[in-house]
Amino acid sequence: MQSPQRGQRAHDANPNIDRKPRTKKLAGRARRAALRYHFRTVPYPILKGSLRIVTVLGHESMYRWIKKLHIYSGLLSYVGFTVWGIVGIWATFAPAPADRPRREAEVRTIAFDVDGGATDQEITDAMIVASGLPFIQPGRKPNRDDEGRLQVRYLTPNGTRRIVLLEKESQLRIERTPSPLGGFLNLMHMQTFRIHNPGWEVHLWGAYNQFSLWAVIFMTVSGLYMWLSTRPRMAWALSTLALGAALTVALYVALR
Amino acid sequence: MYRLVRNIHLALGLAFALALGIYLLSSVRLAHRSWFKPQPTISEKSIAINPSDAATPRSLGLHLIKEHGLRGEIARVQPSDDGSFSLTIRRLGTAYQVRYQGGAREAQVKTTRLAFIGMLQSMHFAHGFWHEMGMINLWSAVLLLTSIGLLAMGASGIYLWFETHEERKIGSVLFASALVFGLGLLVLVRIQG
Repeated sequence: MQSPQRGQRAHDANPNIDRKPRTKKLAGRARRAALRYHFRTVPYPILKGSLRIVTVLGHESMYRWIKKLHIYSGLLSYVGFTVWGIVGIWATFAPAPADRPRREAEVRTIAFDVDGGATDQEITDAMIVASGLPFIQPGRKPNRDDEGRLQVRYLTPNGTRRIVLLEKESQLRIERTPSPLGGFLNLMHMQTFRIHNPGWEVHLWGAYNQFSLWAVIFMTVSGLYMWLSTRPRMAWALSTLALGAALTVALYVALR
Repeated sequence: MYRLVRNIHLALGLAFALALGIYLLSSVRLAHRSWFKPQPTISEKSIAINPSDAATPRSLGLHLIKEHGLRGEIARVQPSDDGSFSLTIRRLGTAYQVRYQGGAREAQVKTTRLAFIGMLQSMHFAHGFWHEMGMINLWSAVLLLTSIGLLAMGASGIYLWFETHEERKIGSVLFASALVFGLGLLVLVRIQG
């Protein structure tokens, strides 16, 4: 029976592995030597068996490349997952839906003449163009409010927008309900590039958000791989993983 | 210092690996709905009720939670003019829709149980410490800790990259590009009306 600290001791006995490189030249040579040493001394059968296979495939080189990609993925997706983290904290302390303060819309009106022969679709398109609001383009289905007035209502990352046709007054009423910074980031963290007509900026952000999602998935998997291939028997690391996983699974079962 | 930060980075990653996995997998589901076709399990049953326990929708809900093992919090109450009412008791993965006719001796309960991926999605949406069900508040605490952990992993990751001299040049270009691109888009969207 091996001691749970054996992996840690093997790691401590091997001072170069995954340690901060002092110089560029030394770094590569030292890491390669360290990895060779480490994989020779891995003491337990299952990992030894699997490592034998990956060693044949060039494990040292694979480890180096995965670490490189792990770093690059993190750097490229940094803004994306930082937004997710901020949104998670913001959402935790946001009031319950019933207690959320109602935000008053900023209202302005502009002159707008309706062509008597135009269809609802044509008028809706003209309203969108005349409003000059971003994140919307002509082509939306006509819709009427409770008073039978033509309206265009939509959600942007900056809040809700509503354009109402005041036919008798020959005016458009443009309502802009602002979104606080937390709400803005919350809406941005939900965006994907599949959303219809959001404007090119939101479209690009959606693509970046998607990229960040896959990058963080890759980092989770590659992070576990790097841990398992260098320091799999560290007692505190195993305990941390077990505790985190046990709490998450327990909550899943309790809330299911 | 490098070793300490590396261990903190590893510890955070391991502690929140599964919780983060739930958020990531449910995000994939939200971004690609056609990839998953989760079918909830629906069942119906009647529960014998003493009318005195159902004087109000809320008292009936609390009675069902305490005496009949319907775990969850009362989420929605819809009274009706004819003396009947319906209410929903829900936790993240299961919802009980209860229908009750005033004075009746039984309540109809429709149970909807989400499939695995639906449950993950429900966990993704849960937040806040204002829930009646303590377990949901506990999950919200996990969300808070995972979010803080994610920010801390990002910060420690930046430090570890910066101390890895051989990756500084390429990394600087990638990081600067990502900052300009990501923050630039956020500002561009925010400044529009």
